[in-house]
Amino acid sequence: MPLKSLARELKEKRDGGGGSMSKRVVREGGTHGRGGALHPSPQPTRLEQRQGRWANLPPELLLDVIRRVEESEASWPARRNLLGCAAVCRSWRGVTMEVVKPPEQCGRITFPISLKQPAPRDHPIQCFIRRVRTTSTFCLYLGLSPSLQVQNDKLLLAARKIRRATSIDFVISLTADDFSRASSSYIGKARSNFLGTKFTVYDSQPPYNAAVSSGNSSNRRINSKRVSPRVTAGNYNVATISYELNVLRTRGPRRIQCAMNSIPVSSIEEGGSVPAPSGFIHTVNDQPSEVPILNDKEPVIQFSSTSLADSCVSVQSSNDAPLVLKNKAPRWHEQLQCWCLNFRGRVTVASVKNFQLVAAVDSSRNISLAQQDKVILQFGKIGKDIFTMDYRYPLSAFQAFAICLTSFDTKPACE
Amino acid sequence: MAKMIKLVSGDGAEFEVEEEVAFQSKIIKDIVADADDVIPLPTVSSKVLIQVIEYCRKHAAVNSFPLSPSSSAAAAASSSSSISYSKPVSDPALRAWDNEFVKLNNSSLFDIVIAANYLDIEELVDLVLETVADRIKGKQAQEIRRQFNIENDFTPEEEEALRRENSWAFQNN
Repeated sequence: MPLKSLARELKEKRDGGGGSMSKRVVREGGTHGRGGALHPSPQPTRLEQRQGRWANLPPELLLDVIRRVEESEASWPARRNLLGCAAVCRSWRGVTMEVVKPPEQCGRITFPISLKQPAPRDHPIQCFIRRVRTTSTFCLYLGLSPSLQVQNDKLLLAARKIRRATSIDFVISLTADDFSRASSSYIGKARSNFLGTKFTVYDSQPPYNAAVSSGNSSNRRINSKRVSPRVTAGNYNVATISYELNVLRTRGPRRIQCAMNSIPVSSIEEGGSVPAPSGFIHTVNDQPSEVPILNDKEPVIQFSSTSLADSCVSVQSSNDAPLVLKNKAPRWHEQLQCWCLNFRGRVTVASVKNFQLVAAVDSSRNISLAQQDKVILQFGKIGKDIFTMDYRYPLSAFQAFAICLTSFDTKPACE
Repeated sequence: MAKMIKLVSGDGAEFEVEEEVAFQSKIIKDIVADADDVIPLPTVSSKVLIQVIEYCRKHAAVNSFPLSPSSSAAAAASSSSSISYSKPVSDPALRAWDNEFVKLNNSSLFDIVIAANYLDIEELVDLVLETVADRIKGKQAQEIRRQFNIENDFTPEEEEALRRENSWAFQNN
């Protein structure tokens, strides 16, 4: 029996000593795939049929592999490898979605949906915004500041300022090439009133999955493992931002107040959480006329005419009041004789646009002082047309970006 | 005289190996009863078993010397619920040997990892999975599918959504 003689050979090799790999045995035994077997291979068995079928890799091993990839690719641009894994096939996508934690847990942006999920509680996600005046475009990048090599900066979102007759729109998209509302890259927008003192932020899809569940066949429940069904874009009022009229023209940051309609106050209480989407609804350009277009009187529209009674008139998930953000009060610096905000080095150029937002809470809520003091959103200038944006829980990148964009609109009544 | 264990592959070939070599496999170590030294391995082909034995032989020789701490102790200490990688091979010569060992095509690697997983040879599983992870990194989905012979089972609709997701990932400026 040829194979028995091979076994004898291995025994002899052992007896002969030597720990180095013997090429002779390798070649003869055909241990390398390239080498080829000396002896004719037996009839194809059930074993052989299973070979090479990586699609059948046991789930615990697949999990292990993708975990290794995830751990080694923490930052961009390498992180995009994970999107490669998530696009191989269904089982790989499932495992990748399991392995990649949302930003709140891991502090990393991975999938586009990460832009609509809250940042970690303990430390902010740091980004910067570049303004391109010639095209009225604003680009949001991940990172502390522009890197020396432009291609290393990860573009998260882009916005374009569009003037209308009685308002200004900041249209927000996943890409800087396409700001059409019908496009699948459309994420949302911030629309101002005539004076530029009040803005409404609209999300193109419900801010969390709960609002979408229904028996409607076009509204299949969003499963983050599945790549999602076709639905047309909506307009969900997720925040209202007001700038205080500063009639006295006093110097200092403008007074801002943001009512986050999709984030309950309870989210910053002890043990609180904020609902967030786990997957995108991808839009397809079919029959946009089914869904009424936004008009000023009715800011929130229903998903479709056959949606359930609990239609999205309001996006509040609970009866709780929405979280309100306001400017952090500056401290009087005795020595410098001025009002100061500590931007911790992330803002270096004085500008009326610079601000820090904290939660506005009343004492009846169970929110610690430390929590109240936390800067949830910080925005400020570091150079010509470059601004930093640091945001933390419970805000998402999209919401933070939208709020910062409103700062770019000139407000004659406020300055 | 070292105690011998007989391993029988799926296609009927018998391999006699020293106990310490065979015991690189935790499964074998557990089931070797006093009397029966013949262990049938119906799901492992000869071709693969030979490669696995080669690996075990190499690592048994190293593990028997306490100069480089055996990873099996570290592995035993760690919990089974978390993914804990066994200690990286500290001996550079052994590492070099390992790297040569895994210079195989993906089909062969698959066979080895399945067998190593079945036999519970943790270091070998680690080695192969690390190699696979390295082969995945930096590749787009299509390339991964091609390399690993995986079928694309997304619907055309889903494909389109994935393309958008991907273009977001790869865009800059």
